Amino acid sequence: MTSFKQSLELGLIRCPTCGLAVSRASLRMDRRCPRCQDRIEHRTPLSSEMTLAWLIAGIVLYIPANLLPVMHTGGLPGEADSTILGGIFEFWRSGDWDIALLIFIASVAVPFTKFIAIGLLLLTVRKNSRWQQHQRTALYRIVEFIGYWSMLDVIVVALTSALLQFQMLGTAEPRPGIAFFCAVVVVTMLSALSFDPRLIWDRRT
Amino acid sequence: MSAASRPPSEEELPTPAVQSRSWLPRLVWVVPIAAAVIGISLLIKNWENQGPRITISFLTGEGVQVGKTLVKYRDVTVGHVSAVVLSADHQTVLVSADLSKDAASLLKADTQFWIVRPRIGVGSVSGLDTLLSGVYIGMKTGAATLRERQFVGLENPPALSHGPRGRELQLHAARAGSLAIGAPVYFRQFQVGRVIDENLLPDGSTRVSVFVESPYDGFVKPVTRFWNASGIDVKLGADGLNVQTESLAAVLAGGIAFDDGPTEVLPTAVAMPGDFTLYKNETEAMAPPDGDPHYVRMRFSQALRGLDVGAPVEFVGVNIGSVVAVDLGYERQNRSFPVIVTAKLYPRRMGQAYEALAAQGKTESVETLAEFVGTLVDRGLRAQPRSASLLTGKLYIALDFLPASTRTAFDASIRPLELPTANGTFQELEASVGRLVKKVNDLPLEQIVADLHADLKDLHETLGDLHGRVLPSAVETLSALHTTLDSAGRTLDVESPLQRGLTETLLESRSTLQAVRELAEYLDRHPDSLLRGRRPQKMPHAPAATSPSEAKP
Amino acid sequence: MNGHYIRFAVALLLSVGVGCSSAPVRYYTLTPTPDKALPAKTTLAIDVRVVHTPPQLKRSELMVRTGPTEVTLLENERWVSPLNDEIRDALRLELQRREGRLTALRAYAKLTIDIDVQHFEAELGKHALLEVSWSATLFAPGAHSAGGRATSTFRADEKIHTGYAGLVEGYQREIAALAEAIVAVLTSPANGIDASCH
Repeated sequence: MTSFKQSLELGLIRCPTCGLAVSRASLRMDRRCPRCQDRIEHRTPLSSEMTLAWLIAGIVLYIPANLLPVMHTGGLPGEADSTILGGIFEFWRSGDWDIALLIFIASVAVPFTKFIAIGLLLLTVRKNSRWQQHQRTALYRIVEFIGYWSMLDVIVVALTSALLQFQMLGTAEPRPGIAFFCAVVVVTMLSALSFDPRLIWDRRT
Repeated sequence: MSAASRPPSEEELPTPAVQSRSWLPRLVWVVPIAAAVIGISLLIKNWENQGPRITISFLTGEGVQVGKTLVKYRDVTVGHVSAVVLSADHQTVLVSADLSKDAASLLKADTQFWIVRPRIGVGSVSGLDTLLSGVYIGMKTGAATLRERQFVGLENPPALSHGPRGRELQLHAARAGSLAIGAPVYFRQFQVGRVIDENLLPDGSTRVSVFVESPYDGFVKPVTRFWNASGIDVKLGADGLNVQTESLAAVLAGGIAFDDGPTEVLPTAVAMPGDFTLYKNETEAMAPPDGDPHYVRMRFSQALRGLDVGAPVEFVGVNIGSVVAVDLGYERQNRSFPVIVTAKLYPRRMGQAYEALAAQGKTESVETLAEFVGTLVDRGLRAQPRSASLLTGKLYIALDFLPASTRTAFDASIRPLELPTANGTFQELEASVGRLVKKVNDLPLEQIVADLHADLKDLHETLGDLHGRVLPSAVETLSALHTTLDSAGRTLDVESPLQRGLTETLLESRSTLQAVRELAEYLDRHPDSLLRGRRPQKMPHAPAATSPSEAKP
Repeated sequence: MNGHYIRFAVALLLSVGVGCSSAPVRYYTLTPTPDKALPAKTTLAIDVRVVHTPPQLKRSELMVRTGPTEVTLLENERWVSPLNDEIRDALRLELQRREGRLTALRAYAKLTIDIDVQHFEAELGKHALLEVSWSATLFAPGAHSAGGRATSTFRADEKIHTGYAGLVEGYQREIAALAEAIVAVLTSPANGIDASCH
């Protein structure tokens, strides 16, 4: 690994917009490209801080997303609010284990995975660790990729509420919980976006 | 080595302009802070809105579901069930319910809870909507000042769930008489209240609690008489058959009716407000008070088969009492067994006669009464058994003036008073029948038969006449009638609008049913057409075999 | 009602139902296209009653035979009105067209034809079979009892053109042939009335 040189060691920094190679001057302050005037940053400033902030917001919002009901169904058999976990449990109990598994993966496993993964990335980056750098980069890619799949639940609630309007036979309405869950998905996506993966490969200089 | 492959030195590269770092990204911390604030405020709001949690114990938890079963007060949801557990001794079910904050003021020490399930009683059907929506817990607040969190639930809904205004009265009766809780109470055939409770008292009598709604409770006065109006009252009297019933509900569930009693009120029979007697029927209720009974004894020297205890005693046709005991005595002098009948008489039942006697002072005491009876005996008053009904063979005692009676001694001082008796005439019936049979026996039957024979021959000739002349014209009439009916039938034939309308309706129904049947068959063949619609069908191939016309044998 | 179940069921239904539509249904009739000529003055009231049809025909879908024991229902090809009514109306119209030839029956006011359909089946592209036994009753004006009666049987087994329209057209031809046979029997010189043939 030591044979690979970072651009910094070669005295170079590349402008991300126009590709101009620029000399490495001060690492600590923002610079503008002399050709295209866009920002040149060696690393995204405050990347870790922003990632951490979004991550904390996501974790905090995940609690009401799970405690508050996400949908209210009504009709002949009665009115009921259902939460995410409650819904999973109901499906499991009534024998639809495949649907229960699907919701569990989309609404519980994926957000938790993201929390843990981003947390891990932040921690290892802060310590400038060299542990498993390839795998960590792959992990970042995975987190970016699976980010939006949690919106599955939100879309289904929206569709159901729009379509299931049969008055006596069946009605459905969204409840605040789903808004919180949507916020969690968006916030964790932003958290993943603001993480600069180049930090994984930084060496202590 | 070309210039391109060598990394440039620092001097060859352009120097970027330096600019201070923007502070905008730091604003991102607003987001988690805002999220935390929202979360905490939600938590606080939720905790603040928590209402009280109560525990109600029931004998059974049937139909109660955690999280689903609601608690309703006056049909407004005020809470829901949060837990259902067995009590420690496994005898009762403890239902915990979380109520909303504003329902806390309803929880008094005597607040009642019950489970509303579908119930079918004789008088009412209730709670059917719970078949669809699930049972719920009904609530009725009490009036106590003490607050409470533990309650014992009722197994049946209270008779009055929302405290209508009115008066509760207690009625006493010897028997409950097929009254159910919830049975209606009528005043002049208008329902004004309900039976709300029935209790068996330790002495064996029944106490029935009724509730009369206001403003009708104003009709209940001290002179009011209550009677059992259940079922159908059928009376067969001199004026014919009389059928009376208050209402169908009363026939099925029983009912109580009340009205003002007879206006004369005995000084000893003033009813306490709230406490009344429940009479067996209207007649008994409205009967004027009987007054005190007087016991009399009668000795009969003939067999009194058919005289039951309770048989009426009539004075000049008016019922003034009933038989209390029928006994067999023994007289040593004559070695005979007289029948000793004890009866109780109510002189008040004589009505105006009694009043007239009272005006003359004859009813002041038992002695004066006995003296008066003595004068009657001198005039021929005797007790005589008579046949009440030839069909049943029952007897009753009639006190009547018999002019042919012999003088007897009457002692007005014996207690109980002994009335002189006369033999009944019912035994003479047997003798008369015997005489009749003898008479029939003596009839000249052969002569009668011969005369009859001659008459029959005559009749035969008449009948032949009838057949020859009368019948053919009758047949003609009938055939003319037949033709008339025929043409009437044709008139009512297909041409009539009624027929046409009926036929059209039937044809229409037939086509509708056919269409429905075809739809059902189509769905049976292609159930997926509900989702996917009709699929196009490939043209089928005819069989390669020879066509049936050629293969015909 | 289980909230989540509905969500997924609806999503599934949507995805399945979006790409589907129903195949069109075609309707057929046995009554011939109307003549351009005006109908002849009708002095004879003609009433046709279909007394019996094989029970498998009591449906609106066309039925073709596809084997010695097998028949196929053509789901998207249907009779426009119940088959009984189709046969009745078609025959009545065909008889009315030929009414001009029933001059011999001028004395009568009403003709009732009772049709008992024994066979009514076809093989696509091959042949169509119509076999009925019929009886005609004539009523003099004002009379309610029969003034004349004729009974016979009729059988037509014709080749048909290919396709569904060819099938129905074959049946139409056979109904017309039946009308011809009835008229022939009713006007045959051997007093026509009270005849029964086989």
